[in-house]
Amino acid sequence: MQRIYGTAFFNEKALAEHVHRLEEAKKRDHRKLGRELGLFTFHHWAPGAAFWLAHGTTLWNLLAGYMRESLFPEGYVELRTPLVYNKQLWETSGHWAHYEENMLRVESEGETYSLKPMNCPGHMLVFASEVRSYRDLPIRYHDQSVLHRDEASGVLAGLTRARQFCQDDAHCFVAPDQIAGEVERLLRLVQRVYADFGLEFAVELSTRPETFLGETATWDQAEAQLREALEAAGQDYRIAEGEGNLYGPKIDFHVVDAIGRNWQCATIQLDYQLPERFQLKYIGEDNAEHRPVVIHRAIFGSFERFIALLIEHYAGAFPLWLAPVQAVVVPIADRHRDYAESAAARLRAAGLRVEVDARQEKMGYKIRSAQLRKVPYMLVTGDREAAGGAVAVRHRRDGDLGASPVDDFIAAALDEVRRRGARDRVQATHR
Amino acid sequence: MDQVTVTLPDGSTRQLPAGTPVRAVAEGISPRLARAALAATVGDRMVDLSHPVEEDAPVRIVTRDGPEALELYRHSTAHLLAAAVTALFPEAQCGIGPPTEDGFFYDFVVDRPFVPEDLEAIEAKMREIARQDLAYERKMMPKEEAKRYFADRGEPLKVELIEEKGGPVVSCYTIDGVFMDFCTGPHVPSSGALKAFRVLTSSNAY
Repeated sequence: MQRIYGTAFFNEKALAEHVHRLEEAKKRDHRKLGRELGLFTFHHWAPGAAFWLAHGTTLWNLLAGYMRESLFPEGYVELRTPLVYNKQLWETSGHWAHYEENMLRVESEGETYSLKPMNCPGHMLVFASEVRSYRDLPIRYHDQSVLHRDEASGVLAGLTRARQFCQDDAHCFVAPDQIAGEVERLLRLVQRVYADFGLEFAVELSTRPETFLGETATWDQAEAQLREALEAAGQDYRIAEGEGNLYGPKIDFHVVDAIGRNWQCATIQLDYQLPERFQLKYIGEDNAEHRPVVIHRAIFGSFERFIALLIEHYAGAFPLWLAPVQAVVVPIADRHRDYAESAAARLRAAGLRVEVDARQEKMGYKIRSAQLRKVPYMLVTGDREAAGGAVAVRHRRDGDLGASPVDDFIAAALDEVRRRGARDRVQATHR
Repeated sequence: MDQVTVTLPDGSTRQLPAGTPVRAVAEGISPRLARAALAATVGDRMVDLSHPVEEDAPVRIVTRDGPEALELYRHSTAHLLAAAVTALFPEAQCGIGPPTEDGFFYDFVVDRPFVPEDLEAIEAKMREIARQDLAYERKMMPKEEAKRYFADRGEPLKVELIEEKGGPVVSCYTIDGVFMDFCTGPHVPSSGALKAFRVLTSSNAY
């Protein structure tokens, strides 16, 4: 059985744009670029789980560090929590009933355990492990643990449909009247993060579905607080009537990439049920016990999907601050190698990620090689440069930028990194 | 003769002899609308322009500006694809061919997988048929007759589909003289309406 795919539009212009988008998408496919740029690879003995190679791990660590730096000023603390939990945790959380077929089981000493598909129940245990006061709230736990969800191998696809992945996860425990304020803070944070990556996005508020848990009044109150937060954060949004989860309303962020495709990334999910199931409490100002509300949220979504999005959005040409290799020093002849190495050492000392291409190849070949790898800068060193303590700077898109003293290049590059800028800022092609 | 009253979206009404094809409503409004018409909604159903109006109903003429127009257009293009494939590959058996979010697909049982040259030839054939501006016509047939027709044409998947989904009388669409498919429709009035399309790729299906 063969399936032939086609498309049709009312006019040639719309058709041509669509076909162009499809061709662009193929060129930017993260699986293809992931291979070509040495970021990650797969093996059939580990389906749905990536091997992050050197450059891919550099990128991952940059993103992980970026997220930590963004969250600590916002009052988050980071946790490291177990991967494997006894079935009883999942029965308490309700996952065993609703999620069982997606969970990878482990049998040990006659007991059934499961690899965690999400961090939430573990975080509930941490909250419950101490007496909490209203003065402690909000409490915010960040966790980048590895998660496992069993998916049929037929639906696995590169990084976007994985069996093993990490979220930039966090849970915020708040008093019911703190929801609006906390969500407003979160919205502003998401706005800042996406601006740093040059990503456009649309926001959707999902309200009470037909089948839901909890009281209507509580839902109404929660939805009102979410709306309040969205207004306060100056965030445009549309309403997805009845699209909320069983246990609370949510806000979803759909990123639009450079070729006009939607990716679901950040999510802010209110949950009244899990604190109930785990009997969480805090002592209020009135000295009585109260139940906190928990906000589940992720900004990248999962590292894997976010990296896939970045690869396809930038078509592999990462801005300087994210490029795994920021510059390649290219000595023209053997006699320039020592100078090239010393220039590279100075760049590294300044915190730049640099390689020296000392292969027995022509200069043109080395330049081409670096361009294929989408390295932002190529620094050519010949007699003139060595004599003058300079490098001849080439940009991957803008070409020859002229000679520059090494220190000047370092200053300019560090400035570009600090600004999270890019000479070749992504131009959206879908408008 | 019985008259029926159709109500247009702006609230105005028209009187027609019962059984008049809904196309006449478009023609009565303006020649431009008649030329731009692809289908119509009568009541809450979308129908061909040849659909006879038998009772009073709200009527809206569907042009390319209508929300349902693109899906209709792509569905008709899927039929065009199947017509081209069966012309070039007479041994091919047709499966299902629905419109999708971005276009359409059609499944075929063939002896060997399609190669890029095949897809180019298929697209060229589609353009040829489209240029001939052949009418898309609806035929109602008793179930058994339809099953016999497709069985004779070596289309066992269609026979199965008719058996499963068909009532005592089933609807089929012909592209004048070239192709017939089991389908509830509706469709564009003729292949000349299909202008901007592309065959993209093929792959193995289940």
